[in-house]
Amino acid sequence: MLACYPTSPARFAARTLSALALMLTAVGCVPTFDDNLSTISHASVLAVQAEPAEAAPGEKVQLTALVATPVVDAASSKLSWGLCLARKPLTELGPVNPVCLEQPGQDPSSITPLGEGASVSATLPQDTCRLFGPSSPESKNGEPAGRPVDPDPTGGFYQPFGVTLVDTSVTSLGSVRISCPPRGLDQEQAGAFTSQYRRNENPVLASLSVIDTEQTAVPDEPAKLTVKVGQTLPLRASWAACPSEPTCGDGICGALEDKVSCASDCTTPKGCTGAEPYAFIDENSVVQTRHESIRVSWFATAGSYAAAVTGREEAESAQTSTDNAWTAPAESGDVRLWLVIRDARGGQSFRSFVLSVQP
Amino acid sequence: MKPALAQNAPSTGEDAARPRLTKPPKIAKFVEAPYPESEKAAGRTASVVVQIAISATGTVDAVKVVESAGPAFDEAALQAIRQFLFEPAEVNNRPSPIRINYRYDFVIKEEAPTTAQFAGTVRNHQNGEALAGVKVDLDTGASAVSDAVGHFQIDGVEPGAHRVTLSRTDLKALQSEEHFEAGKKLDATYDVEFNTPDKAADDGDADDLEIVIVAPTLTKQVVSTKVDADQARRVAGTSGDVLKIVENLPGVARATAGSGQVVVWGAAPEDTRVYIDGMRVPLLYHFGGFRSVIHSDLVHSVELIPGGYGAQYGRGLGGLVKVDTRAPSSDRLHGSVAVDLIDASTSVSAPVAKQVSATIAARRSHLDSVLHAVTSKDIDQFFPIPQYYDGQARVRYQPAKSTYLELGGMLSSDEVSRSTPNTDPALRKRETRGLDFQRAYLRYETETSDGGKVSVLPWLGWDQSTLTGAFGGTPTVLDVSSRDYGLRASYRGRVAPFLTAEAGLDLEAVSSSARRVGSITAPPREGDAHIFSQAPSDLVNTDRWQTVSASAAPYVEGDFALLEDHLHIIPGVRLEPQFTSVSKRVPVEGSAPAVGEYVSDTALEPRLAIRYALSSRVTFKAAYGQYRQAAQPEDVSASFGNPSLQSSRATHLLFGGAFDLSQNLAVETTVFRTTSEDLVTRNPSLAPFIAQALTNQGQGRSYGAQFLLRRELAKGFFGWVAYTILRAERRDAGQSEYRLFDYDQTHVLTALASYDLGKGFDIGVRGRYATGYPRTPVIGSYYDLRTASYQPQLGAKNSIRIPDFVELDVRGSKRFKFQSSSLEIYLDVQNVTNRQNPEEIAYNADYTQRRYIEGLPLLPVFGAKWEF
Repeated sequence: MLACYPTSPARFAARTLSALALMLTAVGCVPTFDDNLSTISHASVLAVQAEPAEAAPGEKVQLTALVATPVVDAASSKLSWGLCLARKPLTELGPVNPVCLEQPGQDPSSITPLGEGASVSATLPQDTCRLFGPSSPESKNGEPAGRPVDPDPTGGFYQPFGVTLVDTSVTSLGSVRISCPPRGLDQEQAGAFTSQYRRNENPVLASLSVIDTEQTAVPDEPAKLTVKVGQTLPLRASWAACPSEPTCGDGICGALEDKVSCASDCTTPKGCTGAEPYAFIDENSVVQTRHESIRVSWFATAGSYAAAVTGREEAESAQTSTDNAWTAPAESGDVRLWLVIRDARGGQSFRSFVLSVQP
Repeated sequence: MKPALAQNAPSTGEDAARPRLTKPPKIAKFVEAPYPESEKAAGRTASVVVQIAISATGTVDAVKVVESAGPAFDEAALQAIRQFLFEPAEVNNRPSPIRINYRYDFVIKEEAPTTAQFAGTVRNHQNGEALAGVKVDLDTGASAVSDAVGHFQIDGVEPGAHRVTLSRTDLKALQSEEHFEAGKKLDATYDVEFNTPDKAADDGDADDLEIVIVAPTLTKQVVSTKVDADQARRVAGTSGDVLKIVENLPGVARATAGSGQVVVWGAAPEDTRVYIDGMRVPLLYHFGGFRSVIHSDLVHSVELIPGGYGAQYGRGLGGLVKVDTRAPSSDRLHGSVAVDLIDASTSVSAPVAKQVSATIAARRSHLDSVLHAVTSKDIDQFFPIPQYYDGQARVRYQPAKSTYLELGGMLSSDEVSRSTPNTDPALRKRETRGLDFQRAYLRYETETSDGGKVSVLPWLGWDQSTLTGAFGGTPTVLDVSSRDYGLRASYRGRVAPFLTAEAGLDLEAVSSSARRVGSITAPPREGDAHIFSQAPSDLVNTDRWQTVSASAAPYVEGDFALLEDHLHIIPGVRLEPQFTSVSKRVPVEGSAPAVGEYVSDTALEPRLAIRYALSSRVTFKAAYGQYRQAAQPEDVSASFGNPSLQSSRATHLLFGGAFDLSQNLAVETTVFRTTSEDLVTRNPSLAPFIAQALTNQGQGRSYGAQFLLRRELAKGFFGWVAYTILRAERRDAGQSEYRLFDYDQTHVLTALASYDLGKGFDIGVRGRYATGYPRTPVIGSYYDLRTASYQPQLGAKNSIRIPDFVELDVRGSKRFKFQSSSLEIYLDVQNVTNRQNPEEIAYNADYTQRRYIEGLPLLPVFGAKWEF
């Protein structure tokens, strides 16, 4: 980005013209910040995986957190969990009602404690689709119906929860995708949607490899990849390719497949762990097929990445990898990497690797 | 003067018949005898006694003098009486001839004057010296020439409005309109400018552009400040755009750099309505705020009314900006061609046939082309570059001096796009905004014989605004297209010696079609605690809806001139029935048909203005008014807003005074307070009803004062200091306390000056100071594990401010005069001290660091304009 106040007189003309363009916008020069959110400097909750990735009211989900610490093999941190029951007012520009970020136990009417630990089990409330989904809130006699919550761009709704690092009292916000009856459709439209929509599957990072002639895979622990101090590693994170058309026998229960038409895939339904296709109702109430975007967040205990987050948007969903570059620190020693892969429908998973930095 | 006068009514004569007189004769037709001039001049009165022989049919058979009053009086009386007609006398109930004695009295009466007297002085605008030999013409044909001391006088002026023209070969022709009252003397002083370049001003067009700045006001008769066109162009920082002068007026907040918004007395930009020749338009400045939407050559006057405006206008809670355009040139061809770094423009105005003249103007931006040519990068990725064009055309048929019929139109187009790439798909941003509008009108104006003015203006409009963008995977679309129908008709005239009244009809109907996709919080509303570059909520909805809204407002306003014209009381009232029809009352589900919503109300909006001239140098003023504004089409969506929204209301109250400190120095002050009710705000409920995302529960208030110290053009120098201090607050639905309005700006100070160095050189300087806009602080943040992004935690709404703004601009120009044209080149340097003025607050990704987005660095704009 061009600087606002040029130091080089030789480029004054071009920058003056650019400054003129600045005046014609509502934004001047946006300052740059030396953000380095990829380097773990303190204990942080980086991700929470819900299994299953999508559940209906009353169903159980297992919530598992990824906690990163600056020390490679540090002991796990204590976590406290709470399920939020507070609806978000329309005046709130953030994703949730601010009370969802309070500690469990402070307001029992707003937060249901889920216990402590690296992983907890949560039962989705029966009224979660009224609180956070397309079902209208309960109305009193004579009053108009309540305004349902709007969906996200994938047509989904989410039950929020908070996870708090007990030592630091820092709370992060998590969400579980909830499966709710569709709203605003007639019988035919609802039937078409229901027959095609499949619940989300968490994406999985298939591999992390170094982009070289051998496509060297970064091994899982306890193995370590050796790198030199200051060396820059071009890295590639890959995930599974998802079939664009459902095929019985591919192990994936796709749209229009069910136990009757494809028992092998749908007796125990399983989705694709990559950029899944999914059914979506457009603004004309027509069921369309869209594809998830995939994003990968990169973290490390040392060194630096070229980008904190990379990925593929929906238009690039045929691509099954994303690239980044990591530069080793100037000091030798073990460095832990974490990668969190997320899809557009709230699913996520994570993997960790250890690199040995040598002089 | 009418000749002579009336006389007293005659008395009936004696009965001359023996038989019984049953009915005496009675004058059926009285003829007034002309008063003999010689006798009238001598001041003599008299009575002539005559004997009249009346026939049975009532005619006069014979008349002779019985008692003479002199030959002149006798002859005048005889001639008149011979033409008398009587109801014949009746004797024994039958018409009968009769002879009677009749006395005709000649009495000199004081006549009520039927004409006015016009006198005045003509002076040099620069130094105030009297000018002799200046011809003063009235449109009645009467004229006079100023004497050695600049004095002139014209007697016998017909009452009413008349155009006055002052001319001399070496002077800039001056035209003015004056109102004359029978029996009164109008004393006027005219300050005229010379034509020659060695003197003060240049020889621009014959029609001076007037920028009428009305600080508290209602009508042109109430306090106003005028800035000559040439003066407006010479103000530093305007780059020659005359309408940019509005930004330097008291009561106007300093807009964020590049926004082009007009924020007046703390009102939201959308609450201040802009009119061009009586037609409402959606904006005054193109995107970026660098140019107005109409070519400067076409502008005759611009009037800013920050509050308390009269009954002629309504439908806006804020102020008014009224732009009046010039008549097409009827004497010869005039035009201009101008170019600078940003755009190129041209205008042509000329007579095209007998009594027909026309004007056409066009302008197009080229900054995008210039930047692409001189930079190697894809500049659009970093800076949105507005692209715009506009055009105006009109044809006027003027069969008489005070009557014309005009057909015209205008169009304007704006578009700006930007895109921000990022390795993270969720942070890739793109946005395209556009606003196109067109207007077509037919205007008829005429003056009646009694000095009244009739005006009829039907107009049509088309507006199309588009917003398309995406922040990561969250789309934002807001497309609104509308067709506007308007009719403005009025009559203004003097209904009594002390009363001028105006009655009219202001009708407007809008048919809109809208589509919106995206988050309910994007775009953000006033009152949203919006953090710059914060991703919008990714909860999205879609809606399409149509609205039809209309209001027809008859109004009346009277100007009572009392205490020998020292006191003007101007009451007015506007009756405004209004309705809005929306295509959907609630969101449509499945295949269910849409059910519409209909909202209507009728409001009586009183207005009052008072002006009292304590002396020729001191004037006090006050104004009060109630105002109403219907909900915007964008707000009546069943999914994003509320189809049942009612109108919002406001009350304005202001006081002030104007003081002439010397011949060329004046100060004007105004104290104001506005309150508003039923403002549209977000519904704060945790479980709002369907189709009620917005409510009419907001309240607002603003109060403050503004000052203007002005030096009129004299000896080549003019300038002013404008200062406004105000506080604007809002109370959102569900809140008990007021908070600062998003557009609150406590102090705004503008000081500008311009000096003509002679030989075509002039320089100007402008200094500005403004308090920064309020913002909501970020007091923490949390990590959203689903979106892998940080979200801000906010403190008290609007509890901090962006730092103050200070800027110094300078301008220099040189005009070259040729035989029949002139060329002006100018250099306008904004922010000459290169001060890093903060415009917005930016945060890093996890909201732990805060810095300011800085506005313009030193910015030189070079341009040239050729006029012919």
